[in-house]
Amino acid sequence: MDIQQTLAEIEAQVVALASQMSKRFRDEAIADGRALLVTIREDLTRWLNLLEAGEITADEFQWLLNSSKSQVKMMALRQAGYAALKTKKFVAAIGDIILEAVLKAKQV
Amino acid sequence: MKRLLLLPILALLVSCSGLMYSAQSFQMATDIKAEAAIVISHSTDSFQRHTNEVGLLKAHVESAYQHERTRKLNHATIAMWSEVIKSNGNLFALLELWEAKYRLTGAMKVESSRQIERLLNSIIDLEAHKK
Repeated sequence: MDIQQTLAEIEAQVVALASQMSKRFRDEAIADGRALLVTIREDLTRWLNLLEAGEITADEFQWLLNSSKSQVKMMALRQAGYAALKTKKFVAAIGDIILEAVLKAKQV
Repeated sequence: MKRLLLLPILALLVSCSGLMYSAQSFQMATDIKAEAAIVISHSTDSFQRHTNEVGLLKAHVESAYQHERTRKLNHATIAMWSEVIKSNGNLFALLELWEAKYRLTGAMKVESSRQIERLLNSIIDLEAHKK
């Protein structure tokens, strides 16, 4: 198994997912993705060693490999959730401004 | 006029309700993470001895997924629970692998437990950010 190729595939997946986000959150998502890739690189090396030593089976290795891909997807979803929360805070701030203006007008 | 101005504010607040922190959602996710760790710690045993606890864990995940679906604007959390259930590299697939292979290796128990913890932490982290 070619670890470099697998990592390149995962990295491409991270960049593709991040590029779907608005520009405002893209850089943050890519930074998180790159940090995750470091972890995945270490994991893959360890799992490959375990496979070669016969400590895990091929099916178990396959699940672990798939779990890394799932990790990338979950990270992207978490980032999307963070982006929605930031939008919510922005909307709430606008709501506060409008409410304050209305209350002020009421006093006049 | 003033009343008309208040309406969009109320509408905005209601539409964002699904993005509000839910102590129940947070608790469900942390409980499932703890439960999953215990179940996976038994995965070097015969699956048949643990069918009940695996069934309970799956039921709790399904329940959390259904609960999240009732919250508005909660797409990311719903999609993450769906990933836990449907992905071939997540919790349900791990439990199915255990069932298919009768028991998992000791190294797999350690590695998969770490992975599941990380995966479920994504859900917990997002909910915590809603505070």
